Parts: sequence; C-alpha cells; structure tokens
Amino acid sequence: MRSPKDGETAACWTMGPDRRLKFLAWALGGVWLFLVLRAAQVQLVQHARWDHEALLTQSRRQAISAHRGEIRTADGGVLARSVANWSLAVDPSRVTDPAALTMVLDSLGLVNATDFGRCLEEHAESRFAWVSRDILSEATIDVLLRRFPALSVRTEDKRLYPMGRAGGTIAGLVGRDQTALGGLETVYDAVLRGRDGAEVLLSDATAPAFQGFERTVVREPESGADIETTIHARIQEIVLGRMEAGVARAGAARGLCVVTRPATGEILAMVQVPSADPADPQTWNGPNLCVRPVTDSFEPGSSFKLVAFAASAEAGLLDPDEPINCYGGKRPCPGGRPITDHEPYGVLKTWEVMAHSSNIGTGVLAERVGAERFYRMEKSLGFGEATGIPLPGEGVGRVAEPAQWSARSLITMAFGQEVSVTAMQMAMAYGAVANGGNLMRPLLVRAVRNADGSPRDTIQPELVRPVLRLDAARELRDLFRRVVTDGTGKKAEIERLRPAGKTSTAQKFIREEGAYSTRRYVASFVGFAPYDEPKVLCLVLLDEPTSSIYGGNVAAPIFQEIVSDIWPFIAGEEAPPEERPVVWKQRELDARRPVPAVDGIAPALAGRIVREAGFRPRLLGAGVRVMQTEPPSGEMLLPGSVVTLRAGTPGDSGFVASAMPDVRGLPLRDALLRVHSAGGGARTQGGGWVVSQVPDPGAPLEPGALCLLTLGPDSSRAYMEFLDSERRTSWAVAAGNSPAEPPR
Amino acid sequence: MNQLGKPLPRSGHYDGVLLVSVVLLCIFGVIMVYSSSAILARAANESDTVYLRAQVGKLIFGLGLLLVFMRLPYRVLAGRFAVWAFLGSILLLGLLLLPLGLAVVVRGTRRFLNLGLFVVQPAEFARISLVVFLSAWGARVGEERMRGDRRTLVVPLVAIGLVAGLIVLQPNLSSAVLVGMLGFVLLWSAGQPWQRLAVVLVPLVGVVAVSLRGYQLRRIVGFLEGLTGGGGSGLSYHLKQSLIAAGSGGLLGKGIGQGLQKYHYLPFPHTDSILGVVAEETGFLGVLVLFVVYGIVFLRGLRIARHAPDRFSGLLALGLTLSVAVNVFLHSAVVLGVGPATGVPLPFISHGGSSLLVHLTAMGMLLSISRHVRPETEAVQRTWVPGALSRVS
Repeated sequence: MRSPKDGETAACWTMGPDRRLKFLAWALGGVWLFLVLRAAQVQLVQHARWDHEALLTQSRRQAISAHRGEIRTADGGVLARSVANWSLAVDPSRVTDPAALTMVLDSLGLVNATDFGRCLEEHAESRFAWVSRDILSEATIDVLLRRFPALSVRTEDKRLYPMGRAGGTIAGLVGRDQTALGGLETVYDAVLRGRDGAEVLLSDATAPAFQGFERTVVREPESGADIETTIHARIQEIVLGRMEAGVARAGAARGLCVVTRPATGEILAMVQVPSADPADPQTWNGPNLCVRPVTDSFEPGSSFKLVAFAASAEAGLLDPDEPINCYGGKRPCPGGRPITDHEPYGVLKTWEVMAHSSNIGTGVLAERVGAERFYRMEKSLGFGEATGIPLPGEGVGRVAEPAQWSARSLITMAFGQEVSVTAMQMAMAYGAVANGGNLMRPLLVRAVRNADGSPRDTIQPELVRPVLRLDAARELRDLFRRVVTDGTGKKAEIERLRPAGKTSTAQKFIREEGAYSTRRYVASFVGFAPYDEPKVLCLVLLDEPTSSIYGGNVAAPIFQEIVSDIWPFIAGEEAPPEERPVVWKQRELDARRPVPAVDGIAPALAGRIVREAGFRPRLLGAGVRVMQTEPPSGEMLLPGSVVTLRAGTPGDSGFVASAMPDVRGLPLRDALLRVHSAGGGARTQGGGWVVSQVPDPGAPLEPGALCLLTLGPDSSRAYMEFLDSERRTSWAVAAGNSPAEPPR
Repeated sequence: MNQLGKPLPRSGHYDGVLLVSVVLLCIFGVIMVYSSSAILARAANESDTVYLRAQVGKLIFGLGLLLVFMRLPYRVLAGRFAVWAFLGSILLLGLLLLPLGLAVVVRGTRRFLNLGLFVVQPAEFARISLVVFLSAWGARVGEERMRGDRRTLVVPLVAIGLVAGLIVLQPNLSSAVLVGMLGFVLLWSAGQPWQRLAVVLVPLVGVVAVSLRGYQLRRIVGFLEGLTGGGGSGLSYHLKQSLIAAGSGGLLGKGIGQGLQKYHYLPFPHTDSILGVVAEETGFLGVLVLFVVYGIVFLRGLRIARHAPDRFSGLLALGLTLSVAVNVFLHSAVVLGVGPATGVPLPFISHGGSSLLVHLTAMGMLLSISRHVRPETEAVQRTWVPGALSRVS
C-alpha cells in the first residue's frame, strides 16, 4: 500500500489505511480478550480468595455479653439483677449539624447542652463517644437514629440492686464495664459472669452493623449462674432501718450489725451504717464498699470475757456462785497502770462478775485458768483466724502467742484489750456458745444455680470444730442470761424471748498517743435468743457513740428492737402471704406490679421512674410534663410491658396540673427528687424511708406548695398507715386546721 | 458546507444491531446505577431513587441527541460544525480555569462546569469535538499530503495540545493522556507516519513523566506493583475493594442489588467503580455478556469505519469507536486491578450526564454514517484507496 509518490517516507515501512484499521481492530480485540481473561482470573480462579477477603472486610466479630447471674436472698428477694439497658453513642466525626443534634438531645433531657457541645469538640477526631447510657424509649431512639446517622445504639446489661442500701454492701457492685467492685460480686465474679458469646455481622464501611444486615451467632453466650445467699431480705431491711435509727440516736460514727442462725452459722443479715447506696455513686468509696463486719478489726472489750469464762467452764473451774475477789475496783497490775472496774466491787459471785462486767474478776478467772488454756480457747473460738466467709478482704484480727505476752497480757486480754477481732469472728464465737459448743463456719452462700434453675452447687453448714462441751456451753448461756436479767444488758430484755448476751464498752486504742482513749469508745452488744434454745444471734456494734458510751445503753436497745422485730421471720411465724404486709421494696417479687404515678413529672425523670419500676417507657409528644400515662397509674402490669407517657406543656389542652406523686416507701433522696420534679417543696421528718406523706398521692399540687414527708425506719404498709394517721393529726394541729381536713 | 462533493451513496438502513446494543447497554446501566447508588443516596439522607431518576432523565435527553445526530447528514459535521464545536469545547475548558465561579471545585480539581441548568464535564465534550475536528482535518488534507508533508502535523498537534493541555490544568492527567492517545491514534490512522508521531510523542512522555506529582507517581507505581507482585498486602485499599467486589461475585454473582461492596467499600460505586458492582452482582457471566455487547458495538463501529463512504466518515467512525473503546477498557482495567487507579466512567452504564450524552451523541453520528455504508461491495479498495477520498471540498 505504499504510495510511490511518498518519497520522504518511502524508506520507511508504512501501513495502508486498511491495514491500519485491521491493526487497530486486532489491538482492540487483544485488549478485550485480555480484560475478559483477567475478569475470569479474578472472578473464577481467585474467587475463593476474594470471597474470604470479602468476609474479612465486610464482617466484624463482636461479643455478645452474657447475662450476669442474680444474687438472691433466702426468702426470694433479689440483691442484684441484670437487665438490658439501651445506651446511645455518637460518632463525632459523622456529626453534620452539631447545633441541631445538641438541641434535640438537650430537649429530650439526655444531655446538657454545654457539656455535650464540649464533648463533641473534645472527641472531634474520634469515632465514638457515649451520649447517654440511660435511654428512655424505643420510640425516641427510633426517631433519633433516623434523624442523626451519627448516633448509634448499643444494648448492654445494667446491674440493678433492688434492695438499695439494704443490700448494697454484701452484694457489692458492678461498674458499667462489668467489673466487680467488692462484695459477693467480686468473690463470685467468675460464676456470675458466665461466658460471653460471639457473633459475626456484616457491616458497611462506615457504620457498624446499621443496615439491617444478617448476624450470625458464632457462639451462644452462656448466662452466669445465680447465687442464693442466706441473707433474709426482710430481716436485712429491718436491721438496716433499726441500725440507721440507732446510730443516729446514739450519735455514733458508724454501726455494724450481724444476725445469724447460731445452729448453722447462716448469716441472716449483715448491715453497716453508713453503707454504699448502689443508686448513688458518690457513696461508692473504699470504706463503704468493704463489708466492714468482715474486714474491720477492733478491740472487743468486755465481750471478749467470753474466752476466760469459756476456758474456765471447759476446765471445770466455773462455779456461778463462787465468790471472786474484785479488789474494791482497783487492782495493781505489773507493767502499767492498775486495772479498774467501772464501779468498785468488793467480792462478787462468778455470775455477778459476768453480769456486772468486772474486769478485775475476769482477770482473776483468767489467771486461774492459765495462759496456755486461755490461749487455746482464744484460738479454738476462732479468734485470730479467718472465718472463711466468701467476701473479699476478710480481716483476721490479732491474737498474740503467749511467748509474746507481757506480764499483764493475760489479765488485759481477759477483758478484751491487746487483742483485735472482727465482728464476724465474735458472732461466730458466741454462736458456738449458743448452739451447744460447735464453732460453725459462717454460711453466706447456700446454693449456686445454673441459669435454667438447676442446682449447680449446694453449700451445707460446716462445722469448724467443736469448742465446748454441751454442759459448759449451757453454763455459759445461763451466765449470759443473767447479764440481761440482772446486769449491764437489761435494756436488751425481751420478756417472751428471754435473750442472753454480753455488753461491751471498749476504749479505742489511739495509735498516735500510744494509749487508750478516754473519749472514744466502741460500744457493742452480742446476744442470742431464747437463751435456753437459741434460734437467732445478733451482734450490734456502735463506733464512737456520743449519747452514751456504754454498750448496755446504746447497743443493747438496738439488739432488743431488732430481735423483737425479726423474731416472726426467725421462728417461722410469718403471717400468711395474703396478710403479710406489703413491702414496697419487694413488690417485684410478685410478677405483676402497678404502673407508677408519674403525671406532672418531667418526661426524662418519668421515663426513669417507669423503667425502674420494670416497664418500658414510650414517650409521645413534646413537653415539659407528663400529662398522662397509658395505662393509668396503679394498673397492674407484667414487668417489661410498655407504658406510654404523653408529654405536654402548661397551656396545652388536656394539660393537667401537677399531682402529688406517691413517694411512700421511697428513700429520702428519691422522694425529694420526685416531689421537686412535680414542682413542690418538701419538709421532712425522721430518717429512713418515707412512711407518710401530706398531701395524699394524686392530690393536685400547686407549684411551690409545701409537702410534709415523714420518714421512718420501717417501710411496711402497716407501719406506714399507722404513722400516717398519727402524723396527719399532728400536721393538722400544727397548721391550725381541724384534724379531719389536712391541708392540701 | 453543502458542497460536499459527490452525492452520498446510501444503503438507507441504519445499523440496527448497533442501535439495539447501545439501548440495551443503557437500560442495563440504569439498573446498575440504581443498584449501586441507592445506599449512597440513603447515606446522604436522600431518596433511594435520586440517582436513578437523574440517570433516566439524562438517558431520555441523550437518546434524543442520538436521534438528532442519527438523522443529521454526517457531512454537515465535517465543515463549520467541526470548527465551532471544537472552539466551543476549548471555550468551556477555558471557562473552567477562569476564576468566574463557574467551576465546581471537588477536592482541588476543577472538572465540572456549572452552567446554571446543567453541570457539565467539558473534557467529555472536548474529546468528541476533537475527534470530529481531526477527522475533518484529516479528510481535508488527504492521505497523500498527510503522509508527505510534515507540516500537516502542526494544526492537529496544536488542537490536541490545546485540549490535553487545558485538561491537564484541571488537573486531570488521565483524561488528558486519554485524549492525547486518541488524537495520536487518529492521526496515525489518517496517514501520519508513526516515526513522525514518535518524534513528538517520546519527548512528551518524558515531560509528563518528570512532571508527575507524588500521588500520580504513587498510583502508577502501585499499579505496576500490583501487576508484578500479584497483590496481597501491598494492594491499595481501593484496588483491593474492587478486586473483592469482582472476585466475590464468582461465576454467577450475588444477584442484582445483593452486592455488599457498594456499602461504602467501593469508591464511587455508581460511576468510577460501577463495573465492580456489575461483577459482584452478576458474576463473571454478567461481565462476559456485557463485554460481548461492547464487543458488538466496537465491531459494528469498525465495520462502519471500514465501509464508510468517504475519508471523513471513515476517520470519524473510527475515532468515535476508539473513544468508546478506550473508555470501556480503561474503566475495566482500573476495576480489575490492571490499570492505574483513576476515575473513568463506563460508557452507557455509569451515572454521569456528560459521559452519557457524549457517548450517545457519538453513537448517533456513527448511526448516521451507517446509513451510507455499502457492505455488499468489496469496498475495501474503493473506500480506503487514498485517491478515492483524497479531498473533500
């Protein structure tokens, strides 16, 4: 195809037009074939590899957290329980309109506008920040997620402690990240926790699992086991109420109480005041999270006289009527100041030494028994060794060996100085006297059950060692009975129960001064009832009481109150179920429960209240107050039912003025929150739970109107009603109205 | 311009196979645009069908253009039209670079021109008007002179240089290279000796290579690594996502709409990576069928070029066919991991107005020429002998 005229390029090989076209056609065909082959290579030959890569890229594995087991009480109550909770998170890098997002979240009461704005700024570079870890309703979530793609929702378990302060310390706490913070939660963490499952879910490149992709569960989560304690919820609550009142009455810094069944070593109640309140993170400090009856050691004082008397009885040297020289109240002692009694006694019979708590007389008994037998009895009763209770950080106290004793050690130890013990050790030692001479291991957890309810482990009462002969134990019980009838413990007397016990008033050893304080005391009473056939043992200890320093004056009355109050539960004389007083805190034991009254309350708080009552709140409408609920308050519903809250603003048609919420049975803090959020002010009387309120629940509440809340140590319905009528009268009198018409 | 020489030989029949193939491609494109863009639209808080509706609208407009150019006697294009279209394209390209606020700046590039009613991509229009212009020039000069006179290279080179240069300034190197390549291939087809072209081309390649920017160099190096090393951890993220899409599609694909890589894994799934979505959802079979249809379009285009009644229509048909083919191949190569990472739409399939309109216009011109082919004659000599088509005017 060369052109003969083309002299310039004649020397070159040149294609003609048709060959050029053919060349191009072949070139195109070649590229076409190459690309088809390449597609075949990628799609057919390497298919498996890319399919695998696709799975790796498009899916992510995530843990399904296992349901944490419950901690239950012996009577079917719940110390700790996990419920699913919805939390809202934000991806700050995807927030397009921070102002709108902030405004909406603020109006829903989920965030504080300024705080959230700062949070967005601080996390601007990050992909994740919590918005709120408590979410109100599914409807709200749905709307939010549609409107703001930067938001995402996660479900996580939230730990509830239905008994509040009454159970908090024993149960311990679980933080948001599922770490146990003390108590049974820590010791049984591995059992309660269960095993997390795993799932693989397909997701897009920007948002985790948000497009409704399928999820494949790779491993089912295994729910944690439930723990059944020996704690009796009702007793625990009564004891807490009595202790809080008693500590306040005595002006004490702290108070401890342990209630056991001496025959088995079961712990029926264990209380400390102050204690951690699971609802209030500010109380979650170190001392409050320690179970102090188990962790804290103290110098026991007179209650330790048990050792000298027990050693004497076991050696056959105890004769209740034998006269003992008490040196007129002051006896010189080698190596220090003379030993004194709180009152000068000349000669006392042995039982009087115990009844009047003579230090000198007890020292004489201890000298007669001798150091070796005294020390053996100390150790035998379990002092200086861990009791083995399943709680973290148990203290062992301090009991020195005879080789380390000084010349006066035997005598001072006899009345409870130079040794330190825990409340639990003391309760167990007295338990040995009460049950006929057997030192029991404290029993706090009696069963572990699998999530399906089948038993996994049952823990029987355990004998540590026999300590006393039967008759020696009986002799000691008789002596302790006379402490209550004729001695320092008269205020512990309950006629029909005939308790026995020992008072104790121990000077606190001030380490900095190297001496015993003359102002700071530990007052305690440990006793059991009935003395001849003990069914219950109760130890009450007050740290630094101020109204009176004597255990017989401040601790014995609390013992008396507690033992009388709890006796029906101990003796199995509980009222038949239908007549049993309704305990507000235990309503959840019944399957159905009433819808709480939240009319007139801010929607955010109302949602919380409804959720805490076990329902799923659903918020409709916008507004500052809940106008009505559906179903109406008081209706009995199964837990988990949806309760619709209609919100409105004053001036809206159908807006109802605030109503006085029902705060009876609530702790003070919760009660105040509800009254305030309904627009009222409050005056309070007493401590503990709200037992009576004026105005009545549901009565219209003018903004700023004053309410009177009366609090008491007991929240049973009967007690409330009793107090209610009483307070109503006094309120009416104080307000100058006729008792028939309490002010609204 | 009506004195175009001899009366047009015409068979009177449009190339039906070509027309049907193009329409089929466009329909398939609408489906794939919907499939690949719905997620994107949802993420932007738009209706799922927002891209779909836009594509359908542009398709209707594009088919209108196709009909207009199909009915238009192609010789009209060879005269003033070629010059004005070319100058118009240069103007649009120039407007992009002027600080008039007409350019839509996306990540530092000025590729789109906002004309109020439309947003257009002038480079697309420039490519086709360059093809028309070069064909007209080639026809005017004639094979003989083209071959003998090296001065005939000046005007086409200036034209190519102007278009490619303005595109480079956007910056959009890959488009510029594409346009340049197309121009040179067309010049070679028109009779410029390859040695003469090489003298110009070699130094040009050198200049381009030296002036490559960091990211451009990285893409090319990455592409070469991918070719030699076969990938693995060295693969760039986007390349890997494309290969995952295609590879996980397998033989039959996951089903249209069932792909997962469009969930923000693939970059621009509805435009620059749409073949990835096609491969994932319809599998190798789908890709093969698509390529067969494209192959039919190319073959019909080459056939029209070969049997074209004159030199202008022959060059034009070839240029238009090459223009589509180069786009198809480059897009496919990028998605299949055998081309440097760059954004090229897939003709007739990808979302994007300018590309669709330009390619449909090109097909309209091709169909217009197809009326006049005479496949029944052994027309090789007659149509392509330099003497027969030496001059038009």
